[in-house]
Amino acid sequence: MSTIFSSVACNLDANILLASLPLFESDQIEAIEWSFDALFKNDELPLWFNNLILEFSSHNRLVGHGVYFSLFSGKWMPEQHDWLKKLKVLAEKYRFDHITEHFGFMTGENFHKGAPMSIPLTAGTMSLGIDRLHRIQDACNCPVGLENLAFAYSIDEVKKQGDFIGKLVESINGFIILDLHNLYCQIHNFDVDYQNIIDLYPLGRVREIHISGGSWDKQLTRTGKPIRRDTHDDAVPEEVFRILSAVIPRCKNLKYVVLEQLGTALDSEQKRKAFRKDFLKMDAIVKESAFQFYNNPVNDFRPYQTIIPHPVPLEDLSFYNQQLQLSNILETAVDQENARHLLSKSSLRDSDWEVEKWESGMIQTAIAIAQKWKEGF
Amino acid sequence: MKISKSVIQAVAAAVIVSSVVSCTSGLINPEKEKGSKTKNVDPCPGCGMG
Repeated sequence: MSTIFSSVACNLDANILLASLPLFESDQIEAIEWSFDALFKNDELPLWFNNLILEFSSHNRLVGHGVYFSLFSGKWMPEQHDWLKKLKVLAEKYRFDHITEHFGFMTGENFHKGAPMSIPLTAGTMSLGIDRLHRIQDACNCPVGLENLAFAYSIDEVKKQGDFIGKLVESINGFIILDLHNLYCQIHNFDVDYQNIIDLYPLGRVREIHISGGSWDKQLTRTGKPIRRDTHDDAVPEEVFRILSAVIPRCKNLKYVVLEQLGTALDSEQKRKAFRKDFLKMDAIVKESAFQFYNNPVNDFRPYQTIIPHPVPLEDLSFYNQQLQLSNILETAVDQENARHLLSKSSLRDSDWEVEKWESGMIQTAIAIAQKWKEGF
Repeated sequence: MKISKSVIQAVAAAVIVSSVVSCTSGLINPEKEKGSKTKNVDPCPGCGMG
């Protein structure tokens, strides 16, 4: 029997819930992923939504997906402290089978403003990431994982990300969420082959897979193709389903496959039907894979020993200062040429950020992402 | 996974009422649901911020 659960990203959003309702009614959704921190500023959940979460929690089919922790902020923020406190309370109330966050840091001056961006992959950022993972692990007391980022400034970064995340999560015997649409973005944006990129990920550490749709940007890659963005606002591309079929047998510790889509992109019955069609297609691939190979996870992704975070959170204030400069440049630059000029005058110049290697189309895309989200959600 | 009927019925009632009441946004306002406060819930971006 397969131990892989076909799941949906389920949040307090009428369109997502309307799209999912027929699947709930037919018992086809086997687990849900809840972005718990989207509701941190509200004191209480509606009773009916709380009961839905509790239903999955009581069957150990609830996983939590954080968005706003900003794992790699160089400065320890009061909001991160509060985030952990709230997570601890939630983890006592609900039984999360695991908790996840995103790789990268959030641009913007405070939480709930900005977008996730990548960081230099260095020993310093590794230490920072390990410190933050220890704190999340300590707060939730369940397996913790990180999701690969869609956005990258250069091909070098794409090639290094999988190995870096693998080493990072190893520190807590954590796991990876392999977001296949994020991978699909990188395949297109940097003209790399699926096989070459997938081999760079430690697939034994994949406990969860995400699939979703996205959009084509008007910006072009260096080879003149439109840039692909992970906007979660369209149906799942056929190529992502093909990647899903190919990658499942290689992920021996896989437990969840999650379909994600934004509620704002499910605002008509036609779109909600397409969402359900994508879910059923995903579920068929999951079930078919179960026939082809016996999935028997051997890693429970719990730490090998109790993790006690250092009393003082690790900080790197010069790195934080660079993050502030970069956020400001991305949020104010009129175009990539202007951003390059500003970067050349900033402390990111000739640094571990390697801004000189950043591709023009990707800088323009970073500007678009940062400016889209700078006013918050 | 089998979900109890009462839970599904409550979800259905809440989201159908919400979608009828709001034709511009699918966002559910938990504070309004409780009938005490009127703070809006932001759209949940999940991780589709790329």
